[in-house]
This record gives sequence, structure tokens and C-alpha cells, in this order.
Amino acid sequence: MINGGFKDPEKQDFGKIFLILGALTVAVLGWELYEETIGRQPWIAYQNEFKKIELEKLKDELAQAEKAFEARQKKLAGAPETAEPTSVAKYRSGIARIEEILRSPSYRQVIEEKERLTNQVNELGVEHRFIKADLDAAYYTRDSALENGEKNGAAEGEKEVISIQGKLSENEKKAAEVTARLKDVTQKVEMAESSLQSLKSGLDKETSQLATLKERIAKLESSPAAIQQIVVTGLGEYERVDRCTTCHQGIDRAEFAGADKLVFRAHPDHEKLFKSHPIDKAGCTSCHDGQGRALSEKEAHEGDKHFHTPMLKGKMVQSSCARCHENAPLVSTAPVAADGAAIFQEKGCAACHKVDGSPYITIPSVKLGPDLKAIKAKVRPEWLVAWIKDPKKFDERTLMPQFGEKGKGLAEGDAVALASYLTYSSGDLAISHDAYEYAGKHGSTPETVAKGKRLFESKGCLGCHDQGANQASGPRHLRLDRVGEKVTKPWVYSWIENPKAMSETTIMPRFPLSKEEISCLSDYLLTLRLKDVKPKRDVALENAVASSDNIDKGKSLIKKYGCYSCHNIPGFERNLERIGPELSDFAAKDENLLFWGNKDVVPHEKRNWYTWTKARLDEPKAFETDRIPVLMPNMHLSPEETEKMLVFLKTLSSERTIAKQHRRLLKQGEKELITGHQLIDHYGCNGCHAGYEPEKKVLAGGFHTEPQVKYGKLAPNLGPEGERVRADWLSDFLEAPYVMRPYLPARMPAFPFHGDDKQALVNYFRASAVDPAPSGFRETAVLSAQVNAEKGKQLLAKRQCVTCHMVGGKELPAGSPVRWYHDMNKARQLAPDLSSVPRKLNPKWANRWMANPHAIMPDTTMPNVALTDEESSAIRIYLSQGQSQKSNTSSVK
Amino acid sequence: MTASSTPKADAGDRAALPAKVFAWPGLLRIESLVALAAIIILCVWSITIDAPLEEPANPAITPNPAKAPWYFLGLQELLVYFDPWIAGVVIPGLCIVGLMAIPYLDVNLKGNGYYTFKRRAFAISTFLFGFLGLWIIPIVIGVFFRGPGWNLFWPWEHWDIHKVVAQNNVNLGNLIGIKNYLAEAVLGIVFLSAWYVVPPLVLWRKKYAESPTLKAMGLTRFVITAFLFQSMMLVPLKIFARLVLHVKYFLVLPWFNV
Repeated sequence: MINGGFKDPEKQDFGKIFLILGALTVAVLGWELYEETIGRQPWIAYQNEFKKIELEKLKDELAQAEKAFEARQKKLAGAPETAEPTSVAKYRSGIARIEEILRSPSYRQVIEEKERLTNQVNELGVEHRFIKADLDAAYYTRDSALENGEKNGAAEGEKEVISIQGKLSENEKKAAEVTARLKDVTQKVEMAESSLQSLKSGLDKETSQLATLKERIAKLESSPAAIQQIVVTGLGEYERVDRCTTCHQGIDRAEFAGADKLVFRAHPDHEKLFKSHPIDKAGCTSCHDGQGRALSEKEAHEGDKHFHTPMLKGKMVQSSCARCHENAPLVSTAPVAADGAAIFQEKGCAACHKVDGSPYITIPSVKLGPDLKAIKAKVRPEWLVAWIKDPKKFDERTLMPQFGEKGKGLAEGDAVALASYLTYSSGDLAISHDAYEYAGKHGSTPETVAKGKRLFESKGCLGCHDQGANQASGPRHLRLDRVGEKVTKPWVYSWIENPKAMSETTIMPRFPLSKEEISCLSDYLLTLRLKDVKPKRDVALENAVASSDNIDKGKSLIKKYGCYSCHNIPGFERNLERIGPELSDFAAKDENLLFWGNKDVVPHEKRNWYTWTKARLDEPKAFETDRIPVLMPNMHLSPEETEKMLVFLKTLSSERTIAKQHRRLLKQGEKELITGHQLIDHYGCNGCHAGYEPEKKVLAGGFHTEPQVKYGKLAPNLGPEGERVRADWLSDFLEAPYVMRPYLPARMPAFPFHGDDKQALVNYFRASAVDPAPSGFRETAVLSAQVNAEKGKQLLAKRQCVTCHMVGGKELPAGSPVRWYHDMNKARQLAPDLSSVPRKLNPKWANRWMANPHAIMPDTTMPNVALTDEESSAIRIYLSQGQSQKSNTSSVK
Repeated sequence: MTASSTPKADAGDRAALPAKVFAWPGLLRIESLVALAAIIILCVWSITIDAPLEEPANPAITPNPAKAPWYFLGLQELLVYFDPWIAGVVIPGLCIVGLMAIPYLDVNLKGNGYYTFKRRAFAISTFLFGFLGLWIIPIVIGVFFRGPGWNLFWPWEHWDIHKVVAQNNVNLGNLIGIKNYLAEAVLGIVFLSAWYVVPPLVLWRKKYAESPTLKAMGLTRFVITAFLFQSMMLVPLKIFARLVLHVKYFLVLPWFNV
């Protein structure tokens, strides 16, 4: 290039290059301008659109207001004249008239007169001051002359004083006259002005609505698009900035509840939520997550690869309540999270997975599954192997999950090995002597079976069990339709007689049944089986189960699968480790911390927490590789249940960066309510008792007003229980129930409460009451002296109480010969025995009941006795005395 | 723009050139065009590629891959092949010292005031190799090709955080079957000494007689230049040895490894 390649730069032409580069520069600057104003500012379009909608709304409103205004004016114009003007036209004409007057020469004269008089008053005032000064001077001259004894001077001075006094009084008289005239004139002027003012304000009032609307429109029209942001403090280590409202402009405005576009729609719960969580303080991301600073939809909602908390949409946002709310299970706007937690509890997930710090989860005081210590005596090996292989095949509603691959179940060899160890380790069960006796002596006859069926259907079994798929009634739905294929009569007999003796973990209560009744019930239950299935012995299988190789293999399999998490198994009594990974911080795991296996269950681009958890719950085995086994069984969740579980699992975060003042701590009694609801679910109280609504997790107060035809709800409504009874009585009653209402066929059975469950239930009812019985309450201590037992005794007789009620099983002498019922026994069966009243009832509630029972329970047969509080107290004192004389129970002393 | 002491061999080239040219339009016009081009490139770049801002720092979470700022990624890349002390201190130190030494080592005055590749082939290629090959390309590799676990990924590959690559590298001695530690060290020393001594010696012996450049340099300048050049070339040698032959170290001593 150098040799001969030199070109004189002055002769070189760069025109084309310059043109191209210049054009490109302009184009790039244009591109930049576009990106700056539109391309990267999608929110401006949203704001303009919202502005348009809002303006349309306002203009509509304005048009309507104008229409209404005109109609009103028309109507007012036609109305008869009143002293005060009403329509705008009349106001205007009034104003014009007054203004006309104000401009008239006569009014101007008045004004001039006013000015003249004002001046005059002022002048007179000055003159008054001068005269007074002269007077003072004159007094001095006179007094000093007197003092010096100058008689002439004094007399002259006196004269001077008198003349000045005369001037003064003249001045004052004139001033009074002028002031009075000024007052007159001023009044005239003021009257004119005030009437003008009132007319003007009347006119303003009439037109203000339109004016305000017009002003709003003008303001809106001139307002530029602007980023709006909420600074959220105290919810983390740093202040957050939420700019969501830049696009979501209608979020807290009721009038946008039905907006066509989702982006402008008001928050569905804004009335309920924003009152306690003001949006200008709480912002959006404190619950919804997402990237609050971002101003484009994708970045704000989904974020990018560097942003790990995408927005919680729809029901998923319910998982946020637990961040601040220790009472999360009681939050009524987040039912799905609580439902998910209930599924988690019911399916026993916590048996294998540790969950710390979740307000939703209470660790149950007992293992979930039945005791396997004596499984040998309960079922045959053939049944056991089939059950272990795939429990859902025998009963698709069982809580026992299916291990192994979905649909296939556990490998035959493994199932045999497990059965082998369970049989080997199984001890001899103390099946009661009666059981064998009844099994031998009293064979099953159609009569005993029929009687058993009647008992099954009337004694309350149906509260938890059903005989088939279509007869589900209780909350637990424990099927007994194939129980006959599974167990023998001595076992069933012993089980019904005392369930806890057979399985330490059971929640099955003990019913007050006679031996013969138990036998009949057993006969009936053993008839429940599929018709075509006949138990057969399989000798090869029995041999395999007995082989020592299989016993060892079974033991290691139990350890591997963690069967001991739900079952009591001999050889696994020590506290063994939880088999599953801890879930306390599960919600915070991102897709990189989750194991996806090698089967491409979810394609790479769709991998996130949700897809993993969903796929995992659907089929855990899909994540298994030849090197990493998956032990988690298939929980057989429905899509709805999976959805609820996802919401609950998303609450499991150990991140507690929320400042304490923003956290909603537990209030008194709330812990009891949360535990109580779980216990009611666990023990299935609502199988027989009405009042508890598991979906809403509330005890509905009040009695049912119509008879509950559906079986299982014949037991008393639990709604008012906390209000009605005293805690110590309830505790005793749960421990040892007795016959309270002889007319009901079903009896409250004795539940085998585990751990502190009984006390927790008692506390629950107490916490659920608005006005519970005071603890340690003594009837006599509260009452005044004039109330006494004798009065109570008389009242019992006088008010005919003893006609229907007995006391301590005895009939008390009636005070009146009137008998209401032809059949006394029937009446007595209807009414509860009164002896337990002082111990049982909350005195406050009892007073209300005695005052007007129908106000509490409209369909009661109790007549309206209308006793005063004192009278009902007297009755209770009498009853408590009777009891203490009889049994000396300490609680009533 | 004149050169008062032009070597004779260059005189013929320079005869055709005017003694002076004006800065305008000779220089500034071209500069303004280059400025336009630079503005266009920078604008397009800034519109299409956003600043690599990541999530707010969380002391509890170490990002994977943990990358230095982009301009240091070339050095971070060296850490794959050398111990931190060598990669972070010795090599950058030699770079700076070498760059500072250029005016004292370069006795070739051709190309002053004008451009010539032919007569400055060694100087220009060496600089370009060092700058592009050992500085810019490692930065590009560090930014675009290094993923989680500092593994190499193609740009179209998914950055799988769980990717496992076997890195069974052995020392040079092990590679050729020497198991003895001392023998290995001796081999390493011999190898490195040969690397530094043999090629320059051969060059000096063979070319000294016919090369005016070598004569102009003299022995001292030649030795320094040769040392710096061989040090620079040690980097690609080590990269090649690591990637192709799976060599971990050439030399293992109790104090440092190369």
C-alpha cells in the first residue's frame, strides 16, 4: 500500500461511506427512541388504555349527571314558587336581580351614606378624645388653684370644667345619633350582600356535582403517564418497591370489579383484604411474590433465570398467609392451603417427612396405621401378601399408599418377604376367652346376622364405617364391605370388645355393647365380602412366608421403606429416623435442587417447582434411576387434591424475614382451635355429631332446627358445646361416657385418646365458646344468701320439672297432681336426668336455657318455664346438694 | 510525521511519500467516520444486550458458576490451567513487565509513522497473538462457554447444573510412566529448562549470521525477549497439554507447581 498505493487524502471521496454510516446512525437513533418510549415501556400503553376507560366512565357519569341535572331543573322550574329559589335558573335570576340592585344609583347613595357616616363617627371619636384631654387639663388647673388657695382661679377653673363637660356631652349625643344611623345603613348593605352570598352558595351546591366531575375529567386528561410505586417496608432485609399498580390501576377500586380486562380488574378480595392489609403499605409482592420493580408483564410475573420467586397466581397465593400468620389455618380467605394441610395430615406425610415451623402441621401423638404386633392373628398370609402388594386393589379408599410402580404395586418377592417378617415377628394376641366361646357356641344364623346388621346401623358404626362404596356417610369412610374376606370371628369379637387392647394406635372407640350384641355384630361383619371371592389356602405361599431368607429380607425391606413410620412393628420399637427428606424448607427449593431423574418426566424448558412437585405426587417412581431409588409410595391423590397439596407445600418455607410487628401472632385460644379442628378430623367426631363444618373449619353455633334424617348426625350438635358445658365435666365424660339421652339409639362410645388429645379437645370446646363457664366456678359462691336449696326443691315441684325429668334415676315427689303425659316413662326417656346438671352445665348458659329454651333450641320439647336466673340457680343448688349428699363428689363442693 | 534517522533499507519506500500531510482531512475525516461506526455498534449493542444484572446478592447462596467481572474472566480462565499463584500473580506480572520492556527491546524502527506488516511481522503477530489469543479469546470463552461447575458448554447447550465431567489429569511424569517423585521433579525441571533454552539457542545459532535484526538486538536483548516470548507460549502449551493430553502439571515441587 505504501509503495505507490499512497492516495492524497484531500482527493479521496468518502461520500458513500459517510452517507451509509449517517443513515445508519439516524436509523439507530430512531430505534433507540422507539425503545425508550414504547418498546421498553409497555406500561404506558396500559396506562393510556386505563385512562381511556376511566375517562369514558367519567364522561358517562357526567352525561348522566347532566341529564339528571336538567331533569331536576325542569321539574323545579315547573314547581310552584317558594320563598327560597330552587332551580339554577331561579338562582341565577335572583343573583342578577340583586346585582342589578347593587349597581343602581339608590344603592350607591346608600354606600356613600355609609362611608360618610363612618367618617363622621371617626371624626367624632377624635373630637371626643380631644375634649377629654381638654377636660383633664381643666380639672388640673382648677384643682391646683384650689390647692394653692386661689379662689378666683378656682372659680374660673370650675366654670371652664363645666363648659367643657357640656361640650363632651354634646359630642357624645351626636356620636350616638350618627352611630345609630350608621348601623341602620350597614344593616341594609349587609342584608343585600348576604342574600347575594346565600344565592351564590345555593347555586354552587346545585352545580357542584357537575363541576367536580368536570374537574376530575380535566385533571385526568392532563395527567401524564407515570410509574406508580408502593414502598413496602419491614417485610424483609431491604425495602421492596412494588410497581404493580402502574398497570393494575383498578386493583383497589370497587367500580372496576367487573372490568373486562384482567389487568384492570379490582382484586377479588379487595374489600376484605385491603382493610387489614392496606395496599399502600403491604404492596403486592408481600403475598404474590414476583418482581415488583419490573415494568413489563413477563419480567414482573415470571421473572427470568436470575429471579427465583415467580408470581403466585390464583389459589397459589394462599400459601403466603403463613408467612406472617401464625393462625394461618384459621384464615378464612385461604381455605385451600388449610385443605392441603389436612390432606398432608390425613395421608400421614409427616410420618416420613419432617416438617418444622409450619403453623398448619401438628405432629400426631400416635402412629397413623394399625398396630402390626399381632398381625398373624388377624389375617391370613395370602391376604397379607396381596394387601402389601397393592392395598388399593382390596380397598381403593384405604390410606395405606401403594408402594412400587403405579398400577403394578410392589414386586411379588418383596411383598412375600415383608409378609414373612411381619408374620415371624408377630406375637400372640390375647384374644378374649369370650370370643372363642361365642365363636364356638353361637354359630352364625340368619337371625344373628340380621340383628348384627340392625346394631351396625343403629349404634353409630356408620359414623366412620360403611359397608360399600355408595353408602359413605362418615368423614373417614372406612370400608367394611370386604372385611369378611380378611378376618376371623374371634378376632372381630375381640376387636369390637376392646379395640385398644388389639392395637395401641387405633382411634376406634369402645362401645357399650353386650356380649351377645358383639357376637351378632361379628356375625354380620363376617358376611361382608365379595360373593365370588372365597379364601383359599396357598401352601406354596405359606412356605415362602415361613422361609428364613424371606424373614431377613423382609426386615431389611421394612427398614428401607420405613414401614415403621406408620405401623408399630416388633423389632422397630426404637425411634428410627424419618425415612423421607425434611420438608421444612421445601417451598424454597428451585428446579436445580430437585432431582428430575433420567426419564425426562418434564421437559427442560418446563422444569420448575410446580411441575416437579406435581409429577412427584402423581408418580414418584417416575423419578427413579438405576442408581437413585425412590422409596416414596404413590399416594393416589386426585387432581384436586394434588392442587391443594401444591398450595400447602408452597407454604413450607423456613424463611422468616418478616419483621415481628408485621406478623400476626397467635391470639389466646387460637392454638386450641387449630389443634381441635385437627383432632375432630382425626377422631371423626363429625361422623355422628353435627355442627362441625370440615370445609370451613368452624363449629357452627346453635342447634339444628330440623331433625337430621341422615344417619350419623343424630348425636347432639357440637356447635354450642363449649358454651353449654363445663370443662371438667366434658373431660370426665370423654373419658367415661354415660347414658344421657335414653331415647337415642346410639351411645357415645369411649374413645382411646392418645397423648394429650382429650385435654386438647376439652380446651378446644372451651376456646370455641364466646362465654364459657368460668373455671373453678362454684354455684354457691356466686349466689346471694337468699337463694337456697329449699327454694330450688320447691321450684322443681311447682314448675312441674319432675314430671318429665328424673333426678339421679329417682322420681321426685310431684308438687302438683297435674300430669301432662299419659305415658310417664316415655316422657322420662325424652328428658335428661337432672342429677348431672350442676356439674355439667355452664351456669350462664343454664340460666339462659331456663329463661327461654326456645330461643336457644327452637324445636325442643322443653316447655317455656321462664325462670329467673336466681330461680334456676336455686334449682342447681338443690341438685348439687342432693348429689354431694349422695356421692360426695369433690367437684361440686 | 517524519523520521530523521531512517534506515537505508526503508528509504525506497519512503521516497514516494509526501513529507507532511494535513490532519484535516487526512486524519480527522477518517476518524469521524470511525466514530460514527463506533456509535452505531455501541447503540445496537446496548439495545440488544441488556446489562448482565443478576439477582440481589444473597450471602447464603453461592451462584454457580461464580464468575468474575467479564474483563477478568481471561485471568479466571487461566486458573483452570495454572495454580492461583502462577495464574494470578506471575503471568499477569510478566505481561506488564513485558509490555513495559518493549521500547527497550524493540530495535526495529521500521514502521515509524506509517504502517508495515511485512517488516514488523514478528512484533505485530506476537502482540496480536498475545492480545487476541491469550486475553480476548479466554474472556469470550469465560463469558459464553463456561457454565455451572466451570464446565464447558456450547452456546446452544442447556446449562445443566448437574453435569459431570471426568477430569482425570495426571502429571507429566506419570504420563510417561515415572512414578518416582524426585525423578518426576528432575524431568519437570529438564522439560521447562529445555522449553526456555533450546528454541532460542537454536535460533540464535542458526540465524545470527544472516539476520541484521539479531545483530542489532545483541545477546542481552535477545535473551530477555526470548524469555518473555517462551513464557507467553507456555500458556497455550499448557492449555494444549491439559485439554489433549490431560497433563495436570509439568513440574511438581514442594513450593510451586507449573
